Amino acid sequence: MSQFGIACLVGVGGAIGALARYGASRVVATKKKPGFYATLTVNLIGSFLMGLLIGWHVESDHAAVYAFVGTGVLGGLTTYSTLNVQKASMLRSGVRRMLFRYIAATYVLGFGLTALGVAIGDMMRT
Amino acid sequence: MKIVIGIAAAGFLGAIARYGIGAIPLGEGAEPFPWATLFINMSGSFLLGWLTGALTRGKVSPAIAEVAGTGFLGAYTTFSAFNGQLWQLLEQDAYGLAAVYVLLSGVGGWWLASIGLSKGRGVQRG
Repeated sequence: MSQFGIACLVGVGGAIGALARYGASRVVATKKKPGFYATLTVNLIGSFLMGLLIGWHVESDHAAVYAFVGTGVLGGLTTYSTLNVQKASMLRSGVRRMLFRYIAATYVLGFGLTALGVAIGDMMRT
Repeated sequence: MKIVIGIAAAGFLGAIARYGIGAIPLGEGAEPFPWATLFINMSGSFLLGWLTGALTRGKVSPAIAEVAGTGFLGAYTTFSAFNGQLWQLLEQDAYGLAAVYVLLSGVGGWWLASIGLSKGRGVQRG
């Protein structure tokens, strides 16, 4: 597929991912929960699915699928900018315990779920 | 409804911007380090901090902040690729690079988000 075609797949995937993330933030806001619940949820789901793609060797074996699902949808679904701004805001508000829990949950569970996804993806491939 | 279309369009552009930066060749012998994602996540964190700060003093409208922040910067930055690349660095036993990657993304990006917040609010950092 051409570079232009790949870029279009990435863009459409990114739009879908961004809408899903926005949807999650709306659900959390409707339930009157803090916004970081939505960010944590999408980041953990996206990290697990990215692990699956890695374990499955999707990037090397199916470049177009990876461009759409991995770079597009999962890249658009997950976010680092919101995470870092939330960390900065929590530090300023002085909610230290919540900040610590948020950081621990995001990084420990995020990386753990990626590793789990890789293991499962690897099993599914063979 | 307008906001949903705006977020989709901005998510489309944010994901393509991330793909485009990732496609920039770094030249022969470049370290196997995810420079592109690091640059994206750090710059996106600063810009979202600035936008969030500017929103609090009414310099940007809530709709613009939602489209540019949730749509563009949310899709531009990524947590799933961060975890995927971290897994790959550890798999290659590049523990030092992995530590640098985590610190620059998680602490450096956090600091940049905080500076962005202060600049957006138009106050001295403190």
